[in-house]
Amino acid sequence: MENSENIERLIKAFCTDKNSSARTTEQLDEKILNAALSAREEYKRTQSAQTQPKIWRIAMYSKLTKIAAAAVVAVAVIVGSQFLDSTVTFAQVIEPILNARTVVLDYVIGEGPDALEMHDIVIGSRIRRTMSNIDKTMILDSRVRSAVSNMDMTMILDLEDSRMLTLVALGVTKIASYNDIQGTGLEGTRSVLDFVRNVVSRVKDNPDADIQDLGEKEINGQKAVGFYVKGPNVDLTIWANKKTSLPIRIEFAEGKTSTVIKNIEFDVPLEESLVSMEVPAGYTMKDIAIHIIEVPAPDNHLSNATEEDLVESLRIWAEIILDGAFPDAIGTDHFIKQAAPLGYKLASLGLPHSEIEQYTKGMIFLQKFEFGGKWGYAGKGVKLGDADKIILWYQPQGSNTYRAIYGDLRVAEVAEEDLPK
Amino acid sequence: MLEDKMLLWKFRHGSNDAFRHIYDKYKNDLLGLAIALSHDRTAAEDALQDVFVSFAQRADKLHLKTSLKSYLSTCIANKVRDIKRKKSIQTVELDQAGQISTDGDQPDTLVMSAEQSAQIEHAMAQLPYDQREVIFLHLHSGMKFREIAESQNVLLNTVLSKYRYGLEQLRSQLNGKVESWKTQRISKD
Repeated sequence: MENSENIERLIKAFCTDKNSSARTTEQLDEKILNAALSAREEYKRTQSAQTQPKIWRIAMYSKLTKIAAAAVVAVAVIVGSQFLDSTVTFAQVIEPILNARTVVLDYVIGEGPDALEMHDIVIGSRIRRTMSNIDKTMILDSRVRSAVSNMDMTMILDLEDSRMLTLVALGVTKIASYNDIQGTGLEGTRSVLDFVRNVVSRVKDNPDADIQDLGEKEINGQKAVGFYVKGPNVDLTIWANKKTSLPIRIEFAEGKTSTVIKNIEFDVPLEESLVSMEVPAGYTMKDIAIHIIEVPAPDNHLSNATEEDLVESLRIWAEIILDGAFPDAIGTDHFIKQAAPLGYKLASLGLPHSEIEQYTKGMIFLQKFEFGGKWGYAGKGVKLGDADKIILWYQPQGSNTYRAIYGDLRVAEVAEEDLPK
Repeated sequence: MLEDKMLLWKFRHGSNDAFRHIYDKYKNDLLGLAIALSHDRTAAEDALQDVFVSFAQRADKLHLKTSLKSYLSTCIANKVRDIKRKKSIQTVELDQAGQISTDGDQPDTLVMSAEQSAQIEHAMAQLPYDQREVIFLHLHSGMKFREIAESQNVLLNTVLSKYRYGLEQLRSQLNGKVESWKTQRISKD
């Protein structure tokens, strides 16, 4: 009786013999290549007509991604109110945050001169949003870089009706589009102010709150008093003008991603037309489908993302965004900043937006250990395919060793002493 | 796998050379698989063409979760199954299968004569198609069982069972023959 191993060897040998006889002919090669490449050309012809709207769609999406990323972060602050030895109380400081009808603010995601900036004008349940300082230096494709540089985009969000009016101007072309923003899409487009409101509203009603008085310091020429609230997943600092008690700067960190809200003005008189859902003169209505990634509840989202997603994200980052090199640094803020360039690049190349979904999932996986886990990154200067260099490592919960991702994107278990210094 | 992803990336960016490279790299393996599964060279060539045409069209939407070779092998298996369904190819037509090489001897492999190869081909042809497919995808194309299960959208245990039953049946049909072939080889040496 033959054993299974022998049978397997036999079949393998049979396959080898079969393969040696299975040779295509030159005629067949020519026929197949011609048919395939012709089909490819036809596909590209049909796709090129759709490329332009796709640019808008992904650009708009990437903005949503940025905000959605903030929404993903779980907020559970175990704090409460207490009397503070200050002339300005915490309750006074958070009052306008909770109750102002109009708010103008800028917020910066990430750090350094190339941090992404968002500008919100909030009037009731509507927001007028623009963004600036998209990092273009890493976009090698000049056409993509040019599109990013010259595009002007404004979003008017009606959170009550869950609708969004998007206004895009690229040169003389001006396009307007209405879209519904339901469910998680709505969550992803809320103002960063809502995020802060959510935190402080929990704080104000919690009798066990632990709020630290940070004392005074000068911010942009104003004397400010600070309050610091530490929760399991978010550290929130609010600086308020000592005389008016109005917040002038709010800082919070989600993992390694910091956000700073600044240039805040509360209850300033604003023209309602700023958040009008009417299409302005000069804009042409276009039916542009906006793809909003379903962002499940934080726990689900975090548990769904896998190491494989992170590896794919790194591949996309290196292959598509940086033409074969890994980024100098990595983290949620870096992911977010590169989402827009990725969107443009995918659009200009006619590639599917599913790459953005994959890219985002990698970011979500990274957030798992950004929140207090042990991890590191050493991809600066490493090229995709470099099998000898570890670019990223993290320690799974309960593990004594680390999972290390190499430049060729393979993953291996590595002891701490073997990690890059 | 990384090289394949780079080739795919280049092809997506307009490099027809990258596509030719992919084609040249896998054409014979895939043709061999198609012939093994269909026992019909003409049908196998049709399958090869259909798979590469489809691959060229869908390259942009393709998100590889396995190796490109595994992906293409799965496409071949699916295409052959379609062709078989349409043409009702059920009989073994040994004379239509490719010529059998007898001059290859690789380390850790058996030397195989035309007669032996024909016997195995006959035994393989007696297997239900789904068992044959799993065996070839694993032993011919090197796909992992998990990859096969995912590509066929079935449970891993289902694939393992098909493989195990298939090998069991082959063992039953080829019982004793392998040893006799080994003996023949030793006497020739």
